[in-house]
Amino acid sequence: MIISGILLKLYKEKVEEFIVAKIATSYYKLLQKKGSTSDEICFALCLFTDILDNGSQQMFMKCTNEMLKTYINYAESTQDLGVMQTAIFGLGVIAKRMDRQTFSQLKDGVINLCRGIIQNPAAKSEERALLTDNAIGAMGKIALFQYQMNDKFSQDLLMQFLQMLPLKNDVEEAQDVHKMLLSQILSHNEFLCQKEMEGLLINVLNAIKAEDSNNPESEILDQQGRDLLRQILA
Amino acid sequence: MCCSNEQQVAEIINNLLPIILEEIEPYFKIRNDIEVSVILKLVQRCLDLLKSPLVSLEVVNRILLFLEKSINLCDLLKKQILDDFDNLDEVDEDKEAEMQEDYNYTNEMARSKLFL
Repeated sequence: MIISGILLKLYKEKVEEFIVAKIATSYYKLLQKKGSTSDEICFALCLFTDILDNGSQQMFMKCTNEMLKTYINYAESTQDLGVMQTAIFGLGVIAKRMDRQTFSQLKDGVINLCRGIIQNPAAKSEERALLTDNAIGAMGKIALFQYQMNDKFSQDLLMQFLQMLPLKNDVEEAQDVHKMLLSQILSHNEFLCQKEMEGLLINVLNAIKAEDSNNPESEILDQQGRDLLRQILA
Repeated sequence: MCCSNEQQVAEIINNLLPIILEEIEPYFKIRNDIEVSVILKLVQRCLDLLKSPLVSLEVVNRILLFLEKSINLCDLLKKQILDDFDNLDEVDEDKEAEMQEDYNYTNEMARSKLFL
């Protein structure tokens, strides 16, 4: 995580005004400028994602509409896989925090973007594997936070997401997505903890556990993730 | 760092980081992005060890000012590289590749180290 992201996570409102006014401004210019390099665009998108992920609700509301357009624009149009990955991750972060009514207007579009990446014939290639994991992560955030009860589409989306776990390519994303799922189980996410999901959830938890036990070097769980899994399986 | 708990880490950061950030000041004046990026890495490593807001706000504010200066330095150096390239009398593929390499290097040194 970037320095400003860590500070935002730990100090929230106490630092966010400064970060937005003095640091994000410079990065925003990179997003507006023609000819910014892919690295520069990635850095800028990462910074704003950190602000959206870790900042206050007020700051989230302030930045989200503009960033939503920016992420969608890059996710749809860029040829650079790193930029696409950062943009799709940003869309997932927004899905996690945005209210359902507002997100419902763009839900289908974002899901289609994720599916396009996940279903790419080369999705598992070395070149695209990180991007694919991030698209699965974003789809998971939509499934877990933007669902509608008793809705077949929401149910199918959640099942598709669960069937794609565990993530194995992007270590950081794998750890975060697995922890997100485990935390949602422990906090009794009403949609995830439906009776119909029980069998699939058990399979997924066993698959995560098996992958972690058989290939600990893949680090698909960090210590916090392992503790959460142990708590659930106890 | 060989600290046994987060409190000790925070104590070291609170005591040492202000001194280090003071020491780095002259390097901004001579536009030394290499030294600045070394300190960025150090700040990153220190903060990675924290799980709660134990560093004083005064030190946090100094870190933020340091970040702002680092970003401004990076922007300045990149602008310089582009201006120097624009002012060349003759431009060929080699010179353009060299400029691109310098630009990316500066980007990496002074900016991307924020993202370690």
